[in-house]
Amino acid sequence: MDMKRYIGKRMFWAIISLFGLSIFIFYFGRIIPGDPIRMMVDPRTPESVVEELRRSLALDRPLYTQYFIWLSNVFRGELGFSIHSRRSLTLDVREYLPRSLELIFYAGSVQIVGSFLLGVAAGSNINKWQDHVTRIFSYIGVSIPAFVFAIIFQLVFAYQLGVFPTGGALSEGFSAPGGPTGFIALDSIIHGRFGTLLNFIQHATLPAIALAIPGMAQVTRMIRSGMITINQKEYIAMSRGFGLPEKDVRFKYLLRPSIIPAVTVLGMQIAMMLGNAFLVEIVFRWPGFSRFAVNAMLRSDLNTIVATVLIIGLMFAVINIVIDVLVAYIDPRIRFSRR
Amino acid sequence: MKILSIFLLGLLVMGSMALTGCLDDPEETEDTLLRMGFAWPTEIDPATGTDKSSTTAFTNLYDPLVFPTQEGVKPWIAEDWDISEDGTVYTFNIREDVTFHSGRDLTAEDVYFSMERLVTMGEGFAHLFADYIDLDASQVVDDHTVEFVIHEPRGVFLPSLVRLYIVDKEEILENAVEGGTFEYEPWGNDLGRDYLITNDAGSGPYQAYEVVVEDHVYMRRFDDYWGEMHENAPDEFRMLALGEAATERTMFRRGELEITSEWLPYEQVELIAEQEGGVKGAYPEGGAFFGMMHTRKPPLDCVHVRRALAYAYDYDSQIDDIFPESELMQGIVPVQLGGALDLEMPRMDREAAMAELEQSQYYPEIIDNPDDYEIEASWTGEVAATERAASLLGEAGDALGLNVRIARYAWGSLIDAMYDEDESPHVAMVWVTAHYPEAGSLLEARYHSRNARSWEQNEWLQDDEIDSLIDEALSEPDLETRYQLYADIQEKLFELMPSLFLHTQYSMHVMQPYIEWPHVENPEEEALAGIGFNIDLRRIGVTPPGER
Repeated sequence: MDMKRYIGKRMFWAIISLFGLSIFIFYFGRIIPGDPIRMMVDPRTPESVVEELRRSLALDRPLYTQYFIWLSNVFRGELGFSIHSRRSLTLDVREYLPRSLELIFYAGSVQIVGSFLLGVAAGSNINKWQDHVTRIFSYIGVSIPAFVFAIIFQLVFAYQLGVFPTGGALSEGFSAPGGPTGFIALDSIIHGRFGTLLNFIQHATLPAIALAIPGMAQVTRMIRSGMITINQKEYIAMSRGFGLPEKDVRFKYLLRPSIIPAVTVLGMQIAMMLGNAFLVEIVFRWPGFSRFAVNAMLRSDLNTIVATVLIIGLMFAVINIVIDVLVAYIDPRIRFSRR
Repeated sequence: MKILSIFLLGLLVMGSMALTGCLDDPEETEDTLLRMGFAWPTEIDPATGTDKSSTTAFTNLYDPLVFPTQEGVKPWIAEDWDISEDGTVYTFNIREDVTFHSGRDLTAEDVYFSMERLVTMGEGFAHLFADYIDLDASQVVDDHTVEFVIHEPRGVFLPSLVRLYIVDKEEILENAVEGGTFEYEPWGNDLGRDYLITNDAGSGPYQAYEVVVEDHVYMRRFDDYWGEMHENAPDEFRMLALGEAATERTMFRRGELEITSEWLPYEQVELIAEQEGGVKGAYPEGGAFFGMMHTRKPPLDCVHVRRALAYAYDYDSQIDDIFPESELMQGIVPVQLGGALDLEMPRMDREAAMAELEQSQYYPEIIDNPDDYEIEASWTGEVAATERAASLLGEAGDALGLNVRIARYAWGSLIDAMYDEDESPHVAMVWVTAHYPEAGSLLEARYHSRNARSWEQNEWLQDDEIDSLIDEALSEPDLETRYQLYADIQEKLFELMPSLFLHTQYSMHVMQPYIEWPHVENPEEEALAGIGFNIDLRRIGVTPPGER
């Protein structure tokens, strides 16, 4: 019951934050240099046409009026007109967001599994080869941005070895199953098109790993440090002293408290991927939302800027709530402190 | 452990399905493909787009009323025409054998509607017609005759019609949306604006079958096309949103890309050509790269300072080091445009530059106190090559003792600045391309006062004499006289030296050796001056895989 109230409270504040974010980004989005209409049309377009377009898109109204028009449209499920794609932004979001979410799901899974395996391996074998290898991996992973990994992977696995596809979400000859969810992987399973599913996974592997590595490197270090710190606690020595099996000590008493800060950071890393995936999506021609959003921003596409920031904000809010629940589940002290 | 078990079980299930043949296989195709990289956005609505990828799509999805040639225009959808003696009534006879992709016949009604739609929407190439056409007086005479009436004689009306792409009226009105963001009167709908984002309504040699905005446009060859095609014209044309050099190189090597995009750095072009067995080629399209000098901002308001910079600039390094496939300009506009005049253009001569500077009203203060006469040379952050071009201007300034400051602008900021006379930088380095194959197209865009507030001008010349000469030339129906008027304008502009005429732009690509592309193989004879007309799939051949 307490947990439900807690989640309700977090959701309420998340909605308030998103509302505040929408006002903030709506205002600041409109002071970015670059007249969106001038960037949309040919430079030889007469001023009268430019003004008419400005009127059609309500860009000639005061800022607060524009905001209320936009907000009332959002409540009707309409995110506005995208100057970049020249159509309803709702259509764009429906088309590109699932691709990015699929990639993030894949990358997030790689990140979670990878960082836990490496973190535990390093934390359980301090100053042994496992620790040294993990340390090197972490330094490389933290210091190199995801898009560089993307280019390296493409050159090695697609260009030189030719074992992975160059880019896109599906190979020539395959087509997206077309609903009902909009997610290729899920729809492929629903339609029983497992060849399409495998092909999709093959395409998503390199971008997902490239996207996962920087966060994975950071979280690996956190788990390792957490395990070293907790390992020095008296109750761990006592557990070992009582002769509890090492497996229980390691996974039940040592790992569990060590991963609490890592889980929080991991969640944030995954949420950030939506914004950070831009260059990886460019390199792998991944038809995702990040690529669309950044290109739209470069053309001063105001509605897309607002929608993108809000979607990323929403993702942060949801993941934050999930993490809070997860941390409370892992750490009984947090659970009990809320009672 | 549980997760690992589920994962392994999943792999086992997938593996068994693969072994037992439960996996769906890709659809095999024997079609020849031409896959080419482009910078997005690609708009396939001929009433909105004007950039390279959009106009390339128009060339292949639609038919224009007349088609450009190196000499002017030739009959296309209009098989012939009459022009009234006063030069205000154009009567076009429309071909009777043209079918739209929808299966309907193309008629004069569609031609009239295409003009009406373009002018009503006002975007794209509408500026070529909107102020001149009298739609009320224009009419459909019969199924295959249309009469366009213009308010006053305009000689360039005919060449401008290369940009009147004919759309299928019925298809558009059937799919027009009412009550959306755009509603045009008297139609009360969006004139198919939304529909044409992902569908075409043309009669061109290719038909769009899959458009994913921001990613690709796939077109299939239209079997009922009326015109001639290359015997090996590809079955499919795929326009892909690309731009990352490593991606293009990998795709090219793996045979997933037939022609690279045109904005790759030259070093990458060379690498792809040398190491991946590609064939490098380039063609001009009637565009040029200008250093636009603000003629109303000191010290560039003095013609001698402008000329000094023009003589101090290192044109050869610009070609050798930055834009190797381009050519130095031979006049005010590219030689490929009808009516272009050959002139003795400035080349680097620092002594001549100094001599010009000494005649300036700002001399010697401009040398003694260069900080008081700072010249801001802008470059566009999104296009790295413009920084190098601007740096050469910085070097030219240094050689003369001037203070030329290189300033980076985001494209959006530069556009904002160039719309305001006070905010415009001293020099803006920008490419501008002709919309129809005559010098008048570029002269009007670049130097007429009505286009002063535009990113195609930074000169703020606003010279009444130049304006009236341009207007006179554009109105002149007789080609020879019109070209003579263009020549007069170019001579006057040469005297005023409002711009640095840096190079004639060449679009550069690397193509697979099994591609035949006459516009690239023999640009002098084949390339057309008009953005988008050179990637014409009617004339490009792709040798079938078995014969390579």
